[in-house]
Amino acid sequence: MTDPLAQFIAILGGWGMFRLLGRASAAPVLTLGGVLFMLTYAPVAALWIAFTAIEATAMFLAFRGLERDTAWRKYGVYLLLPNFLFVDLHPLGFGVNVETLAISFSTIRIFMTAKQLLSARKTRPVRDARWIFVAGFFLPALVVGPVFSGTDLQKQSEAEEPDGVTLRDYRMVLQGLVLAILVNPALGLVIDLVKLPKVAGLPDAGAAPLYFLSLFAAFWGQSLVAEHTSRFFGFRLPVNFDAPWKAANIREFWSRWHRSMAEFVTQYIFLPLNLRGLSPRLATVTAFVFMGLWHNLSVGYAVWGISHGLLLAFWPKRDFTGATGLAAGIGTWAAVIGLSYIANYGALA
Amino acid sequence: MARKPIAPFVVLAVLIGLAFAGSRAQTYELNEHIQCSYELARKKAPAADVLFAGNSRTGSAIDPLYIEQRLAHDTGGKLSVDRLTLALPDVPPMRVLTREYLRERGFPKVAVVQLLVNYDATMQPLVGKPIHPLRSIAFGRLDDLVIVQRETEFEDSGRVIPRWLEQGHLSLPAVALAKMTTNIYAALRYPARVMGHTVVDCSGPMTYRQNENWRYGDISDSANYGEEVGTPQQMAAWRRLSLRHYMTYDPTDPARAFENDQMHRLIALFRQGGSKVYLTVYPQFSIKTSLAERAAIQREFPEAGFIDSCVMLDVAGGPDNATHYRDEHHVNRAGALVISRGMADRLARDFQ
Repeated sequence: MTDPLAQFIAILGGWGMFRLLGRASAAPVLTLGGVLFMLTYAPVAALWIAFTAIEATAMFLAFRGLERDTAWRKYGVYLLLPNFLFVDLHPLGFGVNVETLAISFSTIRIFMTAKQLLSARKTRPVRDARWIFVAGFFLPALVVGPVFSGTDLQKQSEAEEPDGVTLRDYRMVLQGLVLAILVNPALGLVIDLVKLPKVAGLPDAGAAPLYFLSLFAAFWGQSLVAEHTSRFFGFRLPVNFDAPWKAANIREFWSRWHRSMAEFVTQYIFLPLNLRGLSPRLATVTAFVFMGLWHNLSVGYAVWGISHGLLLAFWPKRDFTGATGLAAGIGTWAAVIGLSYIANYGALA
Repeated sequence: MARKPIAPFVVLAVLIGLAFAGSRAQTYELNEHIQCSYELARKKAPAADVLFAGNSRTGSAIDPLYIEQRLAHDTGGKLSVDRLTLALPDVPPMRVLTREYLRERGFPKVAVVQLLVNYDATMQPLVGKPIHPLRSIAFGRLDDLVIVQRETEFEDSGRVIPRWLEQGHLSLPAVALAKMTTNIYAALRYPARVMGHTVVDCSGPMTYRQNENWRYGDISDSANYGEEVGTPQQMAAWRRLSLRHYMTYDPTDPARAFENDQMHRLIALFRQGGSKVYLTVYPQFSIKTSLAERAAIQREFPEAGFIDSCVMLDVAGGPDNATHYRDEHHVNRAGALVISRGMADRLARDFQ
């Protein structure tokens, strides 16, 4: 993982270029900046993301001439998704470990862009394929951040007047940096310093809430930096976290935590499966197993995906109040924190 | 959108200013002996006449003040002694620290360099592997970092792809950026300030002692260190730990190629300034190095002399030299007295 401050410095460099060159330079500057940043930190990952983007472009060019209802045009780009497994499987090909930074997020953004380009009612021109590369190498969200489609960036880029940068954006960038580079390591130190009760067979299980907080600080912070530095360039990204601490049950949790990815699996995994006859519950579990394996190809994340999927699929639809509501909230958070521990820090991780 | 081209440059300027302040502040939270070793290397003083370089075994066995006194007694002149240590298994950072010393303070007349090789078979795959980046970049100059980066190995499974693609490798721009961000953190003194940590005070004796178990003016010819002998249970544990994964150093073993190369480079650093270099090996509990091993070391490093610290202890000690250790790797004050005295007596010949 790169230092968020190093990425912020790279974004600042891009911001300076953008200010000097003008509005039309936003997408090229951020794409080129992303390519250079990736080449600097993880050249293999840069090549793999470029390969995935070229693959997506080839699919776009091959399928755009087909009827909209054809299976290839509707589902052909799903062949891109296994590319994120490169993160876990690359030693089989290379024989040694290589840096695989940012591939997981970029693969999803490239897929979303190609899928939306092919879903458009009116056949999109060939030149629109460049937004696949913009989405793949988008500097502010390159390493961690919300997932989104390059076509959304295209719409914003073509809007007459983008939203201006507000004082809140600067504040949110600062808040994001504080969370990612100050709070996150401080929590790491707290975990090291605090003597927690040992649980046999579960190393550091007592620290699970602190681990979760640390992960939240890093992820939320980096998402804030991605979302609000994008505004410097005239782009608005989806909001990834919406006060997740307010979640009273698992449904609400997934509408507040890593929202862009939750929306992605709903739209691109759950709905197609459900529309093709899979029961909603099975489609939900499948979608979350996908999300788990997207995080990491491990037993821990498979357990994480199955468990979150089952919780969502079988959680009662009615709202609880009073003591039952409190118990539901506590149960939800115990499950969320416990599963995060199992996936990231437990023996199955 | 109002055009304010100055904004990003102002933020960048602030960060660059912080990085500059951090590069001068030297307040990054490091472990004590690394920080104090750098302080020693940058001390405003000429190089010592004798410099001992090595890891924690050097720290435990060598008392610079005692050796100064003994040399003065043996030679009739005043000679200064420094001990430069890093408790890290890899030579690249040791070379960086040594370069710092030689650049800042000049060359010693004599350097006694510990043979820095691994003796634990389970650790051999890690030899030369990336060290924690903050450890190496907290004080290092960019050109030093480049050395560490270029000469650190990443994989032991055979090279099938260029090393710049391997995990752990940082390109030079990434190293420079990492150096800048570290300096910014140093300027902010974070998280040390928030966590209530104090910055290590390397002024005074700590610059030289660096670790409470290391020697600095606290051994004497007239003292009796009998109370420091380990209990039978401790010694049994030391013996078990010492023998469990012990790996003999055979310089002709291909697995030792990286370590040999690094040691040659470390020795060459001293020799290029005219220092006379001795190589030494410090003893380990329950391990007897054979004459053949010592001869092999001397054949591998003909550019350096050899001082045999193990023999000093073999002569002084009983079975296992049991009275001379504080754990399986480090000698106690009795052991330090034997080795420091032996070293001083041997080095005195070079100054007579």
